[in-house]
Amino acid sequence: MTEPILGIDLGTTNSLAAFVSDTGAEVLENGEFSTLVPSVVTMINGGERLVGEAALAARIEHPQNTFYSFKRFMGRGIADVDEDLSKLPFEVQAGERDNLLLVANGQSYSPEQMSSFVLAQIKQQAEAVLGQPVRKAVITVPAHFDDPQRQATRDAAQIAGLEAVRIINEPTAAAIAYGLEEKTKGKVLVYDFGGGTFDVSILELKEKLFKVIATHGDTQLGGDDMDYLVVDALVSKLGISGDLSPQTKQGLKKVAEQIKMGLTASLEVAVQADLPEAGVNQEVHFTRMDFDQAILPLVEKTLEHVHLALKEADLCVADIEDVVLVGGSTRVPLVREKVEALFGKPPHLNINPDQVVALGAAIQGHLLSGGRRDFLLMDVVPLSLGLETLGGTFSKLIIKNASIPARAKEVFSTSVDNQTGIDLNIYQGEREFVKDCRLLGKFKLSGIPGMPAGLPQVEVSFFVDQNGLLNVTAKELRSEVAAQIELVPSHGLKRSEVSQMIRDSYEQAEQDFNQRNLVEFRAKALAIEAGLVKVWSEAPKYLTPEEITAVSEHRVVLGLAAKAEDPMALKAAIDQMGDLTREFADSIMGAAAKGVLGKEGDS
Amino acid sequence: MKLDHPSAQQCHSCAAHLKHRLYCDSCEKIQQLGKGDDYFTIFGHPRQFLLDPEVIEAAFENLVMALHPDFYANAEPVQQSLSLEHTALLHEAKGALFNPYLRGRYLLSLLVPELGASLVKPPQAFLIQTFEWQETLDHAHAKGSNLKGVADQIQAQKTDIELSLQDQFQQLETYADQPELVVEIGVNLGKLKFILNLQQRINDIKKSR
Repeated sequence: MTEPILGIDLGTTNSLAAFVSDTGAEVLENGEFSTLVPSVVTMINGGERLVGEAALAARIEHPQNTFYSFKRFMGRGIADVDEDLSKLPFEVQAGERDNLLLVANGQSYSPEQMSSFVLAQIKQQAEAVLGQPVRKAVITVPAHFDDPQRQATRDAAQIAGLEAVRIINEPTAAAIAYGLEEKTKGKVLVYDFGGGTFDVSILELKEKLFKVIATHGDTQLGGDDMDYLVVDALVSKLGISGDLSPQTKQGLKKVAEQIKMGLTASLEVAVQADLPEAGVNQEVHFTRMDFDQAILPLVEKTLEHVHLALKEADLCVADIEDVVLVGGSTRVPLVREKVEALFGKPPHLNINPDQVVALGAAIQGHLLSGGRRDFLLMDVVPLSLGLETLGGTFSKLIIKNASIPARAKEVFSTSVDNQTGIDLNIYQGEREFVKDCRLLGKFKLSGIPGMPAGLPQVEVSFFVDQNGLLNVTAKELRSEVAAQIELVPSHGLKRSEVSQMIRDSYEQAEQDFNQRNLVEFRAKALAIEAGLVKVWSEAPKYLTPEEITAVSEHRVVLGLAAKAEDPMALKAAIDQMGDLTREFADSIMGAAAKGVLGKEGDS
Repeated sequence: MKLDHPSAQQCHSCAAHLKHRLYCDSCEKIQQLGKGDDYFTIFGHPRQFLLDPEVIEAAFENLVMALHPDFYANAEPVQQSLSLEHTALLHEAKGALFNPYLRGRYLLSLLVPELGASLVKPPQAFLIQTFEWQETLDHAHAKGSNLKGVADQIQAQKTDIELSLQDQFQQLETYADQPELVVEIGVNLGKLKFILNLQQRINDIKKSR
């Protein structure tokens, strides 16, 4: 059997894995285990780590050390984040490079690490459901994630012990699941409003070929922003003033989430706001109208992106066959109303907006594992890629919405005589000047033989691979110098840091493994003791007094080992007990068997 | 053996007759690029300026379904990298062919390989005309007025240039050593670039509204 490839929707608020089995694509969960993991991590002082539901449950108790929405910080620098970080209950710091760090108990963690904790949890749960190890996954990212954000996602997977065999866009993954299910042909618009990000993608669906034609979005626009608007309304409604404590912030966010979800089905909700550090413990009433009014600007912002995507695709609303809603925020009634009003028809509601991304990713994983050949998804570059040229202008080599894999090359020259090196600054964005675009990295082409200015011909090649990740190479054509190219990442993690984190995670995995063993061995020790208690009265029949003493003494040893923390010592004690009692057990078993035979003989 | 089509070749791997230059239907192996492979021939399209977009689209879809890296995730490394390179080539080639300026430049470089990348500056009268259009567009942009009139004029000019290029390339295809014709083509391509830039500007203005 080929190795399983999971589809993982690594979301801002919730993450989920799916898998294609013989019966089709399914979300991975059973009664006991679930890969639906809230993207929340609590770092308890002393090294214990809670992930998912457990972390969510601990957020009021550990307000400063419970981290959520860290996906918004992946591959980002302090200047990239518009949101007010002081509104968060936990501490976010600018890193040494243009990166962000999350601080717990004086120790800082990268957003990649936080995401890796969520991915590791999913991996573990998925392995429990599937009953086999999982090492590979297709992981989804917002379509509008840029190069560093995609790289950060790959790094997070690697730290969690997963190979991200493919990074695909969330709306695209949704379109795969939708396209195969509904067999729609024509232009389809995916409106993906998640916990932290908004994307709109327009696809052309043909028989087997699903082609993205345009995509637009905002990586800082999601359900979180709705929550913050409700929090602001709550603060004034409850008359809370002054600085909010971390616990109050977590509490307010929780109340805001309850209000938002409650208002999906009702026109008014009452939620108990218990905020001891703010001196508040009362029921708050919130109407759908209040809520809609608060979030209207956000919804309108998403519609602007829809218009931009339509323009980029040279289409109008009437050209769109179907609108597919994806992401938890599309459960908000106002969102549905506005989308329906814009397109003049109800959006497609047959798919589960919380699961469709993971399912689509799983189907893509199935394709990559060689399991099918019935469709092909062609995705695009979300943002133009290019170089800084004279005067700080941005020279685009690969234009937004180009199908991937994509490549382009351009020849540049030197401006000074005998220049032996050229600095190449790589940017991503749509604006005219590099100062308004995002720096992806710098590299230097050195070792060019001295030549008069303008004579060297430096050919720079861009290649965007099937994951949407950029690779840059450069060569001086006259001298054939394909000089050393070292891309220095401006954001995210250095390769060496990723390796270190992987080592750390192995150590952590070892600890986890030991912990699991300890639990297992303790259970075994208990079972042995219980078994002995049952048959101990029979012992003098089968054992010598010396043997009885030895077993009795060892029962005490085993009891102590089961209370201690060393799984290996416990295992040794269990094994020793096995040796001491093997004959006794055999004899008892034999007697029982004889008893049965005897009875049979009697009848 | 009768060579009825430039793509009639044998598979590198199983020696079967190749229907497409890049891919063998018989043993499913991706082929190395060889002599005679260019943006036109990989799609089975004749090497000419007059383009049949439907031929390109249909061939593109067939090829991409055969070559895309998603179908080679478990293949041997050589096939994997050929798949990646070729799919990028398909995108690059299609993009160039659907842009008349890039198509013309590319075809010129195929027909007259020794010619450098030198562009011929369009004549003064043409430049003055484009400056006037540019001003009209700036004006219309500032005032938000209708662009239709000027857009139609620019489109008409584009059609003229393209028809003229078709003729010129046809002549050049029959006999390549015609330096004066090459210069005329260069002039037309230079004009076409200006025209395409103007049309881009019109699109940008429309999108900003």
